[in-house]
Amino acid sequence: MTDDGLRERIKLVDPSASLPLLAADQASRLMEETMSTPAASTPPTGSRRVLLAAALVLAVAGVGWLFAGNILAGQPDVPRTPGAGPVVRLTAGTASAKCRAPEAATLAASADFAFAGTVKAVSGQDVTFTVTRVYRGAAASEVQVELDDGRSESLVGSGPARVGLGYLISAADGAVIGCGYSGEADSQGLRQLFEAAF
Amino acid sequence: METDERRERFEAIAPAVIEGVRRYLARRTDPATAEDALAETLLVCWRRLDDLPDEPLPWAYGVARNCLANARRGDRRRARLAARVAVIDPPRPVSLPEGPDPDLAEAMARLRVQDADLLRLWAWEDLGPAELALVLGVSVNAASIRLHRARNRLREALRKLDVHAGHEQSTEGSRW
Repeated sequence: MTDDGLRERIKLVDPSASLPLLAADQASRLMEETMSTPAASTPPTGSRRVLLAAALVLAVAGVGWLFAGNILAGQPDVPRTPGAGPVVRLTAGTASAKCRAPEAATLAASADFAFAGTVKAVSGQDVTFTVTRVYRGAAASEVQVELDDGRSESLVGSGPARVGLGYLISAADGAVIGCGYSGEADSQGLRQLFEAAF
Repeated sequence: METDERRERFEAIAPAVIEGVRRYLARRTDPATAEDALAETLLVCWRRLDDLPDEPLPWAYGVARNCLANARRGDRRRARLAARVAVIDPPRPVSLPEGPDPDLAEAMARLRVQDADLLRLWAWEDLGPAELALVLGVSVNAASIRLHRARNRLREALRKLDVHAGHEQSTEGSRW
């Protein structure tokens, strides 16, 4: 089947084919409601600050399937321009005080990308990992994680990243899974957790 | 002054964005989630008006895509809770109605989520590699390669379904 044929076949099952146009007054109301919101973002509330502090940005070299999924304070990220690199905005989970003990079954069920990597370079907020093993997900040679302040409290045993230090990191839907499911490779029980899960 | 200019620009681009994003969402989620995600997407467009490219729709698809991802994360949290309830009171399985092209639906379901997502953007939203790259946040080259591979995987999945169906038929035909 040609590309065009394939495209037409998928188009034939378009679920929105029967969707009527939005009435003009509804569209106008929607626009008015939108524009009545201040253009500048409101400052984050207390609970949002916690999430923002835990924010990570992960860029997977050669892996485009992890897409920017900013879940910071409910404000979606915007797509990056081509050439800016496949950057994925992530959150690192909730504060460790609220985490339950990690379980391999939970990790296996929730992670769609997991890898072992060694810190290759630290540049400002960017930490670049050389991937030594992909436990789950598409092959990647490098993964770049941008940390808000050069570290993340949600990663196990995570002090400031140093070149040569090994990490095990899992992610779901573009979000690094914290709460004991990602961190320094020699953190107690983490490697066993990965081996059991994957 | 500035506000008037902003309003004018937004009013110029919003109708096309609303219609496009509305369809994008209707193809992928339930009406209530779609309504929320559309409002959220418009808000991002309004707040990031200065960042919008000349052709804002692929950009807006990318925003809507993230809104849906956020909603699904919330759904999964609720699903985990529901799963605990389901152990006590298991729901009966519901058979889904067959669509107009069950083979295609089955083949798409067998693809990786990322491939199926890409193919839907390509076919339903009519996006080419450059626009796909903008939605997915990858280079045009990467989008082009991924699209090529996804199409081949879909063809392969369809072919396997054909072979399987043909095999079953011939087996049935040879029975006594």
